[in-house]
Amino acid sequence: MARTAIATAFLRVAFLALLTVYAALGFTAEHPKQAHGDRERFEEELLIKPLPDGHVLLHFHFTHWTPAKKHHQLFPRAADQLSQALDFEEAEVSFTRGRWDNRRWGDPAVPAKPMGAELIARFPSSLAAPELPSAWGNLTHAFSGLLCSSLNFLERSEMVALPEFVFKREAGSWVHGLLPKEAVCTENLTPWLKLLPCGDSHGLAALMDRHVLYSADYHSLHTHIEVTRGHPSNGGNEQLLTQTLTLVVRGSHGMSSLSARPSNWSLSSIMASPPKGACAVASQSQVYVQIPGQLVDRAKGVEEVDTVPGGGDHTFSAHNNALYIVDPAPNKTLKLTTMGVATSDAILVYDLEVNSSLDPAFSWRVAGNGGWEPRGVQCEVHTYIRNGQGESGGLVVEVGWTGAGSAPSRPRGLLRHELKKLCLLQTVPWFVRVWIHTMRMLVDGQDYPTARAVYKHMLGMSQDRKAPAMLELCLQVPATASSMAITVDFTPAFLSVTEHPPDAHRGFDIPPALVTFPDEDDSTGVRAEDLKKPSESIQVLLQLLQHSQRKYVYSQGTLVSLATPDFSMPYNVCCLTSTVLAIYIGAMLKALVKRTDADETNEGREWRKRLAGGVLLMILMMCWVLYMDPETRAQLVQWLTDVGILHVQTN
Amino acid sequence: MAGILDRRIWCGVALRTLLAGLGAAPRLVGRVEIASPLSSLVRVREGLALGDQGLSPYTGDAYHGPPLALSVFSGVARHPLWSLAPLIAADVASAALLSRLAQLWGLSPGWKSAGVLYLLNPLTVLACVGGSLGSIENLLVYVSIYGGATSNIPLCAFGLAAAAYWGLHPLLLMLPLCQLMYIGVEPATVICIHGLTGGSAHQPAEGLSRFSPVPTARGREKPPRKGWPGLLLFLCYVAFWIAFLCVLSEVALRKFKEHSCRSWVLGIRGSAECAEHADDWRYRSAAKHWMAETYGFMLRVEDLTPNIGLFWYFFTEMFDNFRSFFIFVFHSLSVLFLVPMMVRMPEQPLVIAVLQCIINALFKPYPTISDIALYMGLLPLFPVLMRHFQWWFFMCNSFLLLAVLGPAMWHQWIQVGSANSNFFYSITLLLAIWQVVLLVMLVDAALSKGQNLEKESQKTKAE
Repeated sequence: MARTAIATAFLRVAFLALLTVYAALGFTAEHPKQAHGDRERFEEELLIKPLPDGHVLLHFHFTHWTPAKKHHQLFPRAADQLSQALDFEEAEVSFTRGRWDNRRWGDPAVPAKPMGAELIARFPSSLAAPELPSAWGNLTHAFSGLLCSSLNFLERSEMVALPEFVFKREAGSWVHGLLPKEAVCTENLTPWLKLLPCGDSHGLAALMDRHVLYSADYHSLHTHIEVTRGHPSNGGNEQLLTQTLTLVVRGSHGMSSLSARPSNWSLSSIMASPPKGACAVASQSQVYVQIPGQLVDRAKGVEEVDTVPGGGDHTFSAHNNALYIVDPAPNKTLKLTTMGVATSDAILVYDLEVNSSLDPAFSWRVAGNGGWEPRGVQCEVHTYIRNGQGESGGLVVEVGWTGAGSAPSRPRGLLRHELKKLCLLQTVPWFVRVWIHTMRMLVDGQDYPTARAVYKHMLGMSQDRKAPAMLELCLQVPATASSMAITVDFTPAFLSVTEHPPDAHRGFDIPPALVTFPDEDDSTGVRAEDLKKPSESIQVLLQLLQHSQRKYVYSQGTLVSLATPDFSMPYNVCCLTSTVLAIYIGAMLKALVKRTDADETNEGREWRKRLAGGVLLMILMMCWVLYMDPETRAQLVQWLTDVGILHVQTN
Repeated sequence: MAGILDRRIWCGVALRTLLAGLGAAPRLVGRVEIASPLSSLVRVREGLALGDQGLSPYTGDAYHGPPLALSVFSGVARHPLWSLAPLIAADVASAALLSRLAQLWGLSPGWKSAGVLYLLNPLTVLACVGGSLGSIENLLVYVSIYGGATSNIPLCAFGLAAAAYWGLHPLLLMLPLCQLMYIGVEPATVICIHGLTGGSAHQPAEGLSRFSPVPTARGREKPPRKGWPGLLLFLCYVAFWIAFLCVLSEVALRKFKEHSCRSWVLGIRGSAECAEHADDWRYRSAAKHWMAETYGFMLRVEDLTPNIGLFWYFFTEMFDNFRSFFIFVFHSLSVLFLVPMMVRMPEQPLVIAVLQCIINALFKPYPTISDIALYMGLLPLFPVLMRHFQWWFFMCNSFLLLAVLGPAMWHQWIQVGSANSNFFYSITLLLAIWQVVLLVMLVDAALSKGQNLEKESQKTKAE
């Protein structure tokens, strides 16, 4: 026992020593190149945004960037190994619990993800098509190992779509897989935190209290790796790893979320503990509080009413005004510009490195929340089943532009002939057989010719137990339309007993539809080139906010119930059906071999044949016995030799 | 005769049109009793819609019928009424063929209305209005039997080849038809139809003399055998027609690249353009020859949608390990008694053909009510069998009961959700037993007829 312990300790020491020497060698070798631009970066940011119904959005954003080099100080080794082993260019995995509630929270500040697990990957166009399934399979297994999830179920092609148009940022082969039933838990979070240089002991990640995280109304864990393949001689790949965690939590505990009473909150009251300072290796640790434009406008309105006209040059402060106060005062205040259009949203920037015990608190100065109502969302998508009971039904994907008047998407007045474009991806599992010829389109409740609306499409037909149906439609509808629906009829299939999941009566998931907008700027907001410039401090999250949040809009998935067989019946069915078969064989045999009078009359001339048949049968049986039994064969040979027919040479 | 038939034909057509016009078609088109994955009009429409998109109809698992079925419906499939026109025409033609057969075989007037019985059979009407392609398969089977009965070898071979092309199982009728060609049409007809017409057996059948130049049909002395030349000619014609239909299918699918790449006939398989797509994931669904998607699909029993047959529930419940074994067992049962029947009833190939139709209806993986209508239409042509058959009252009533209970159980299970799959399964099981009983009774009847025939001939010899 003791010897083993000593041996292990020795091995450990030896290994560590080796590592040190190796690392030292690596550093010294790389040292001349370690100029500006060759430095790894890690940044941590946190966005806090109050929501109209008293909830608070928290968005943790961690960015790792590494240039092409062999050895990394900050960049997580697991991610590096992953990108070296597998030939992908971009991979995005998200685990989400709960649903982003458009009606209560308005448009998401960062794109909301569908429930369950989602894996999107882009493979290089150079990858040969036959290698795509294995590349995807490896990726699913790698990610499911990295993040302790069951993403490996996505390896089977029956869940996976190969869209052509919806992801258009970069050229390549996009593969999209969804697991709507995936449960999200701390076992996904723990390995995710290990990718951070400070883990959850320092920095913003130290805020992540498990109880708060998993009692949140919406929880989305997101990992995104982008690899720029370098030449092997340059020492590796340039990589950008983004880890985000989005939470929607109650502002103050113990208050009904539906009550209209305002909630005052502070970071420590939400997350159960204040921050423990910045992560030492982070190039920046920032906390932003985003005050929605509506609130700012309303606060301005309140102040104008309050102040006596001409009563001195009072400057409006976005953090301390008649409506609310955010304490402490921010290091600086910014105006948010989304897609080149100035909005009235204010962003209060705090630097965690300056103030390590930062605890921003938001409190109302008035009773009520100043009449702050959730603004209509720009666009929402719904998938639902029409007439799902019975042998046929209809699948409806509906896109509604409820907040049609909102500012950034409508910079100018609309003309009648103007069209708006969107691309829609709906994957339908094979057991829901959709009939393409029944596809209809409704715009504002009126039939609209599909041929006029669809300007490009890709249809993947479902294959039983192999491939889902994939409807990928790029549509253009009149810009004045406020809703649009695609309906398609389907017939539910019947699965065998072994194909049913354990809880078959729960229903079967139809994955959510995904809508993207080809007209709008779709860049990710952050370019790797920006991160190469070491002198500038890039606030990645701020850049992201300045771009469209409508990159992806998902519907919520839906359930379809299939008729189930009786799971307790296999043996009974075997017996009953086999009984019928036995009756068939037995009765037919009896009917066919029954001897009729006519057969009796023929018996006289048949006896010779019968005798011949009998003799033949006996000979055949004897041959068979001889073939099967070597002893009898030996006896026969012996006997024949004795008689003198055979002459066997015996030595 | 023709006048009566005409009036009744119009009656049948009007009945179908009326039902379709009243909107029965959309309700019937999805019924499991009527539409199987192989024979549903919905799937034909889907296949045509895919063709319009430039996709092969065999992309994915939407369409499993033969390629030429798409050509039959290509112009009319979209229209709710016109899409039924080919099916109505097929039913009318079937009825005409059956009437003509009854006429040829000189059946007594009571049996002559076989065609009308077929046309007004509720099963046929429902199958036709529900858009089951089985109507066309039935017509092709009747064509082959009619061709056999009129010793029109090319027509018989065409009917057989086309029916086998359409639904595969009619291919099993080839053996009885070969037997028919071997022993000659007239003696076979005489024995099958007139074997036990009692008093009328002594007179030459009047209908029969119409197509046979020499009235050999005495039924007592054994007529000369036709022998091998007729059989070989028949086989050649069958091979020719099958090859013809396959080439025609390849031509029909030529415009879809993924098929021309896999065509055995068009011969551009090895080209570079095709090699590019050979293993592509994206084209995975089109990676099969159409025969694998039609006949292969049928033989593999992949679709477990309930129907009136025995396969679906058995393979829903069966453990995966034993699946292939039991698929082999089930398919082998449809072939099992074909040769024994031919050995036992060498003089009655037409009867064997009818019996085999019943066996096909039992052991098709996706049977529909058209398959039942097929043999129900043929039975009135064999009055001898019918006379020997007992239990008419029981058989008719039990079938009526099953016809009511089947849809009721389906409704309880699927629409209402208050029953489970076993309810519908029990009805399909009883229907299978009903068909087994019918089959065995008919075998009994056929054998006892043969026995009587022998007795009769001995009696004549003694005289």
